[in-house]
Amino acid sequence: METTEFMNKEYNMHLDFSVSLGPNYTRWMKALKDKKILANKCGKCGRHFVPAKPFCEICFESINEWVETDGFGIVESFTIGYAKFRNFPDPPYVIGVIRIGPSAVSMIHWIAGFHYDKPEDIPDKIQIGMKVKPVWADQRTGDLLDILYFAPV
Amino acid sequence: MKEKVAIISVGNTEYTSLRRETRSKAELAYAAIKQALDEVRLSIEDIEACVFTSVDGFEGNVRPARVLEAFGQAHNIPLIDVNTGGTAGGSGIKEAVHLVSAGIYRLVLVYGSPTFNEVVDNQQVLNTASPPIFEKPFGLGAAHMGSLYGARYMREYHVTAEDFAMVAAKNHKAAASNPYAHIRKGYTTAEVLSSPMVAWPLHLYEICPVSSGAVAMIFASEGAAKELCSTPVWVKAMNSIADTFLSGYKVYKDFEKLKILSKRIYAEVGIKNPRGDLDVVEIFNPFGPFELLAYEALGLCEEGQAVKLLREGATQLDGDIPCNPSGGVLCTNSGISASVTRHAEVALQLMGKAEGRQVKSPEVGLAHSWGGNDGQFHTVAIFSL
Repeated sequence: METTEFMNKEYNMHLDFSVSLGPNYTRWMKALKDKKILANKCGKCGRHFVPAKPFCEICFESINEWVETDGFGIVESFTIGYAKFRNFPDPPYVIGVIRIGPSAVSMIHWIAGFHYDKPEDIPDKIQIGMKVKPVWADQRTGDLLDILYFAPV
Repeated sequence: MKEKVAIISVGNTEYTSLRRETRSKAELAYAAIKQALDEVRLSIEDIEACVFTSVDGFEGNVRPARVLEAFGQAHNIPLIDVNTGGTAGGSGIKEAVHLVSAGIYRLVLVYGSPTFNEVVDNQQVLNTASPPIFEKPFGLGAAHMGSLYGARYMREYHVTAEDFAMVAAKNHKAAASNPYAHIRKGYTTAEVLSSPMVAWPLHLYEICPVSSGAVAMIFASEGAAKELCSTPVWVKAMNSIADTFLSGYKVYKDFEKLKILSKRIYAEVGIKNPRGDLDVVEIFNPFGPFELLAYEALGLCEEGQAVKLLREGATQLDGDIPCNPSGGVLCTNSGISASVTRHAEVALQLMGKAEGRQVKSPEVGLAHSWGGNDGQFHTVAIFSL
């Protein structure tokens, strides 16, 4: 039987971007350098936000009030990466949806710093509703990765 | 809606994996569109507008609509490009429906593109849709985002890994009978549970494949539909809803936005008991647990009762409310094509043309799509004979 060889041609795109964070995200990021997790608060509905928001999407008002949280968070949901993908962390790693202090919303960060014997034991070590605290990097630059991970309390 | 709108035709290609794909993007578009035209004996120049749907930047081209010649450009037909991430199929159909309903065009073609076509490493491309500053560094891929819903839902309603595997197995069994499904292995609950864990709580067979294939649909005004088609499927209602971008901002215990949208749509068409009033449902379920969350958000059962509905067999092909008789997105995910397909599948069911997966005499169906960053958008459509 005659077989046909089909051709593929390769190409790629290398693109670089630079994002302007604006005043609220900048203030929030800069505070991380001093091991502080700030929340900002909508003056109208009173909701707090970690990470800080540029404006309240419900009230549609700018947000100018700030408070410092104690940094403790609650795990709202989580997943455990067991497969290796290119440019992704080496498995296993735990990604948490973490709500900090009085915040009405959550943020994404790693959960680590707990003991387990086998990777398949990890689901039993993390619970939704569990309290976690930030573990800080020694060298901080004003970035989300100034927090190494959140550890169970 | 102002004027009545009907689906008069569906064109489908076979689905395969990206690695096995030998057809070009142009040939896929041509095959799906040609089949949809032939079905109702139309020529490309009869089409008055074309709606193209895909995700910008995912097809090795930032504007994939512009690289093909299958959309009637040679006949000076307007090309409308709609992108709401994975939901784009639903959103594109909504635009087509509005254009016909407003009396602007009589015949509108919708093309669902194979979004991941030409991608070498799919996860890298999907990750470009993640919020770059706040979430991208953490290795939050598509499956991980999907897992966040499953993990929270498990905890809220004491759902087990076996419950999740059962809903996946239901889809695998259905896909085995669907000639247009990609993964047709019919994996059982036990096989799902023993497949590798990818992103807890999701095993490999609870996560959609990356498929290649395309779908086209033709929407018509009442006059054109009656003239061209013996089994037009009428669009009773169609709408969409939007949510926030960041994954961290979402609450994962249910599909809150879908609940609001479905209530709005049911009120519009007078559906009071969705389980009794609908005959077939196609849910956007790239991850097994999504189907359970959608049962509840669509009001097919009470909150926390989705597993009971599944275990009763109500949502199987021969149940009283068949859901995803096609095997769903779980078994065939050609990107945006998959969200157009939810609508195409419901249309084929109502036309009685769902070969190998036909529900018995359905008259009213619902199609759902989900997408954008971790469920930023939902669309819901109600179709009837």
